[in-house]
Amino acid sequence: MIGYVFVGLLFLIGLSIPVAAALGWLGLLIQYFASAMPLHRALGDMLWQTGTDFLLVAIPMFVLLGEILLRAGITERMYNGIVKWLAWLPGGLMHSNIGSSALFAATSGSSVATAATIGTVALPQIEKRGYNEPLFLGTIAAGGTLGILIPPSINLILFGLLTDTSVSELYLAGFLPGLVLSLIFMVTVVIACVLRPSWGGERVTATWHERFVALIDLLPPIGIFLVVVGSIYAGLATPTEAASLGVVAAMVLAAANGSLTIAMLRAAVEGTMRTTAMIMLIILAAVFLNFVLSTLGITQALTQGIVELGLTPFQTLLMIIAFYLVLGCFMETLSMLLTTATLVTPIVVALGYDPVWFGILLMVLLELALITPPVGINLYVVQGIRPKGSMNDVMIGAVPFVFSMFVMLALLIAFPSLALWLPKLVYG
Amino acid sequence: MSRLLATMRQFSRVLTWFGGVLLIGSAFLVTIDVLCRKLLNVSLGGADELSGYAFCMATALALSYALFERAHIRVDFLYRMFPSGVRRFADLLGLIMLLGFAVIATWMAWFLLSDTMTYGSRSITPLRTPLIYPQAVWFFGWVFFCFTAAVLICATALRLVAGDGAGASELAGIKSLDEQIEDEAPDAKTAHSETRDSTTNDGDGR
Repeated sequence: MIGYVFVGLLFLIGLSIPVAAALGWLGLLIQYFASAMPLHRALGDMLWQTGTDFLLVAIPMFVLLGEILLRAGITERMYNGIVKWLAWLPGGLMHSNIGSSALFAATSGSSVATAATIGTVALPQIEKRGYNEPLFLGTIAAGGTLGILIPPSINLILFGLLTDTSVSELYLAGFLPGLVLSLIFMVTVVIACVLRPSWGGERVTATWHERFVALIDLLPPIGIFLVVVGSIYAGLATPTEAASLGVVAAMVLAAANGSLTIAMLRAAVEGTMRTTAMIMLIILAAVFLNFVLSTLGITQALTQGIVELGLTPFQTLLMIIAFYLVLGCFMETLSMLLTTATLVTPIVVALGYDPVWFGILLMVLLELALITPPVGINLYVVQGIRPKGSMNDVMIGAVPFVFSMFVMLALLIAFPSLALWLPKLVYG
Repeated sequence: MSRLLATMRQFSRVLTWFGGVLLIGSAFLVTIDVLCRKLLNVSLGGADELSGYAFCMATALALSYALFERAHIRVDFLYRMFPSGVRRFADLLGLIMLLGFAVIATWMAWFLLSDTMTYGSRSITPLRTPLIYPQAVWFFGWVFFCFTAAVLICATALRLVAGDGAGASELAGIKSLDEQIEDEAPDAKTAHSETRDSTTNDGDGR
C-alpha cells in the first residue's frame, strides 16, 4: 500500500498535475479503494475547520507584511546601510549580500522575493568593484535561502501545523541556527577571498560616524523584526497576533515613507492572496490526505516498517537526510515540505529525536534544495535577474554554500542544543 | 469567449480585493485586541474567531484569481523536458484534475452548508456567530473556483483545437521564471522584462 501511495504521488506530480490536485486525488482514491468508511464525507468539515484555523491566519499576515515592506521602498537604503557595517571584510559587498538577506529574511518569508530583491540592488556592483562573478552570485542565491530558517518563516508554521509542533518553539529554535548559518556563509566568503584575493573585489570602508548614521536606514526592518519576533519571544503574542502587529507596523512605516497608497495596497493584497490561495489549497489537500493515511494506519505502518529495519537511529537519520537531498534536486520546496513532513516526522520522533529540532534540520535541508540544480529555484531567480551570462556561473558560485549548509547540518546533529537551547530557556 | 474570460478575471480580482479588505481589517482587529489585553488588561474576545472567518472567506474568494494567475504550484522538472504537444496535454489534464478535486470538495462543503442552514448552527464560542454568513461566502468562493476551472478548460481546449498552442499556454501553462520573479519581487528587474511582451511565451522561459 505504501508503495502504491508513493508511486501514485510521484506519477501525478511528475506529470505536473497541480500539487494540490495530486494530493487531493490520492487521498480520494486511497479512501475509495481501501476504506470501508466514506472518509471523503469529512472533507467539507475539514475544509472549514482547517480554513478557519487561527494559527494559519499567520500565513496571509506574514505574506502581506512582506508584500507591503517590498513596496515601502526600504530595501535599497537597508542594503547600503549594511554595506557600511560589513563590506570592510575580505569579500566586500558579498558580506552585505548575506547580511541584508538575513535581515530581509527576518521580515519576509519568501526566498524568491529575498533573492530577487537583494540581487537587483547588488548585481550592478559586480563589475563596478571587480568581484568574482560566480561567488558573488552564489552569495545572493544562498543568502536568499535564509528566509525559510530565520523567523518569521512561513515554512515553520506549515511544519508546526502538520506535525502538531508549537510554532512559538520552532521560531525560538530557528533563531540561533539562522544566525550561525549566516555567519558560516560569511566565513565561507572570507576563506575563499583569503585563498584567492583576486576574487574579493573592492572593499568598502566606512567611519564609525557613517556607520551610526546608516543605522537609521536599518531601523525599519529591525523595528519590524522586534515587533514581530520580539512579541512572540517575550510571550506577548501568538505567531498570528505577532504577524498582525507586523502588518499594522508595516503599514505605518509605509505611510511614514509616503508609499502607502490604494494602488500599492491593492497590488500587495493581490500578491498576498494569490500566494495564500495557492498555499492553502495544497494544505487543505495535504491535511485530507494525511487524515486518510493515518485513519487507515498507513502512516503508522510506514513508521513501524522503518523502525523495524533495525538501523540505528543515526543511520536512519542519515538515510532521511539523503532522501531529502535527492528529492530536493527535483522538487520545489513548499510541495516537498507539505508532502513529506507528516510521513517523515513521526519516524524521526519514534527514533527519539526532538520534533522541534527536526523541524529546524528540515528547514536547512529545504534551503539546500533551493540551491541544488536542476530544480533549485534560487539559482534560476538569480540567473533571471542577470542581464547576461551563463547559468553555470550561478551553479558554480552556489557550490561553496552547499558545503556551508552541510557544515550547518553537521553542527545541528552534533550540537542539537543549537536549536533547542532557546526554546528550553523560555519554555523550560 | 475571450470577453467572458476577461470579465471573469476582473471579477476574480474584485473578489480578491474584497478578501484583502477583510484581511487588513483582521490585522487591525487582532492588533487592537492584543494592545487592549496587554495595556488595559481588557480582552475584547472573539478577534481570533472573526479573523479565522475572514481568512477562510478571503482564501476561498481568491482561489479563482490564483487559478487565472496560474499560481497553483506544479512541479515542472519533467514538464520542461516534454515536447510542447505533451505539455499542452499535461496543462489540460492538470486543469481537469484540479476541477475534479474542486468539485468534490465543493460538494462536501455543500453538505456542511446545508447542515448549517437546516440547524441554524452557531459557533460554540461566546460570540455564538451564526455560521451561515461566513460559510455562504466561503461556499460561493468554492463554487466560483469550480466555474472558473470549467471555463478555463473549455477556453484552453478551444484554443488548442484552433491550433493556438501559445494562447492555450497563456491560460493553462506553467508560469515562466520571469513572470514568477515579477510576481514576487516588484522592484526586481528581470533581464527579459522589456522583450517579454513582444515574444511568444511558451511557458518555459527558463
